[in-house]
Amino acid sequence: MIPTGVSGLQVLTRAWVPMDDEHMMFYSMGSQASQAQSSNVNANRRMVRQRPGETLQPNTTDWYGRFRLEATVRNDYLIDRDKQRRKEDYTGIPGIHTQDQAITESMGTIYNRTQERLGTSDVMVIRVRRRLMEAARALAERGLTPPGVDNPEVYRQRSGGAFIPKDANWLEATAELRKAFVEHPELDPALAG
Amino acid sequence: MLSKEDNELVTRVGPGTTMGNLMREYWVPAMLASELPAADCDPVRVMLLGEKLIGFRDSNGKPGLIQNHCPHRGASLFFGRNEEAGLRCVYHGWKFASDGTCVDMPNEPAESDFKHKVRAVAYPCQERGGIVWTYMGSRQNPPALPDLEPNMQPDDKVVLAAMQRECNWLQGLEGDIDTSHLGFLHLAPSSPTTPDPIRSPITRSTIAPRATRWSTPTTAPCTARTGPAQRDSTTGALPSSCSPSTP
Repeated sequence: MIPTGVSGLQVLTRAWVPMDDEHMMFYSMGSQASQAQSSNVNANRRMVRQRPGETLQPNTTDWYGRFRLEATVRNDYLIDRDKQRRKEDYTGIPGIHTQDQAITESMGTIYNRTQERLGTSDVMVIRVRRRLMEAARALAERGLTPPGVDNPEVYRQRSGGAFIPKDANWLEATAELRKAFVEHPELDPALAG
Repeated sequence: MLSKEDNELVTRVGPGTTMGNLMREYWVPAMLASELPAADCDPVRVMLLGEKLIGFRDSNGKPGLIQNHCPHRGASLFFGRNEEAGLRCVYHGWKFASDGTCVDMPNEPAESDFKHKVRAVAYPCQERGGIVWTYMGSRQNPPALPDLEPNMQPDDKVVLAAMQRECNWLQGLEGDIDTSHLGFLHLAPSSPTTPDPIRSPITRSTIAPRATRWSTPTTAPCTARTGPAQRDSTTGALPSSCSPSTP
């Protein structure tokens, strides 16, 4: 789930699925109602979303032939240095997903975390790694069922942004907005866009 | 920063690895349902958690995910005939149902019961919201699919995307939970001080701050358990520590 979008309206989940240690498949699942105003739904590929800069190559039957972007490391992700220089956008690489793809692939096929320097903004990355390792070791060493496996209802969550009073407890103030399957006709979708 | 050992632990996901075993306890998305557009359509090569698998949709419309190499002598079932509720190897005609049972072995004598002794690795699949999910774990009876709202919409209300990335899964995921990069990598135009560069207030307030103030409530992790969580006896609620949204 991602922090952009209007909390309470956004219905979106992403999955980062390993194909093997050196390839992964990104899946995005959203509801049409919450994405209609911000995305182009390609009528020729019903249910599959493609935004500018995220054009896909035709699938092949190869093990690694599914859902590859046209922009790859082999064409420097179609970076436009003039656009970067003119500050039209930060990277010159077209498409938000392509920007993410370029930068995470550039870290090395299997990123080596023994050399990095994590700062204040990396607290979430640190926590997620810690919990992953805890759950993996608990399963391996003690046979403990991993979190959520037997609790499908804990996934009933929404993400997004919301304005709340400065001194409010954000968990309490957003409790209703974060619940799945709740309608919020009072919210304005134009807050996102 | 991680030690070399921990970095190996979090990145290696093949059969028998610690992280791979963890992932196999959960349902994972294997394909878009649209990759198998119709009953008896062409099989698809699917690489998943370091395993080579063949995805197919049988004559009854049921999706299956079966080992690439035929259990007989290792020919790829990708070239198989997808016919009459099973995938038939074109080398010697052995045929497998989507649950991995061998349903025909035409080069064995009629009285042979060998086909009952052979089974292909096949993972249970469930189709929902345009995704083919599979369970590759150790349980005989897989758990329930996670209650993910966008995956529980009617098919014509779902918007899906799939994109392959040529790198390890975790650095991909780490980019998604790192909000700090939004004000740099994705900024257009490339200065947060440009007058009203992004009109919508929520998007602007998500992207523009470059040194974010964090509020990180300390919650007990949703710890691994030996069984289902204990519900509150009066409200039926789960412990609040089980919310996956709390960091």
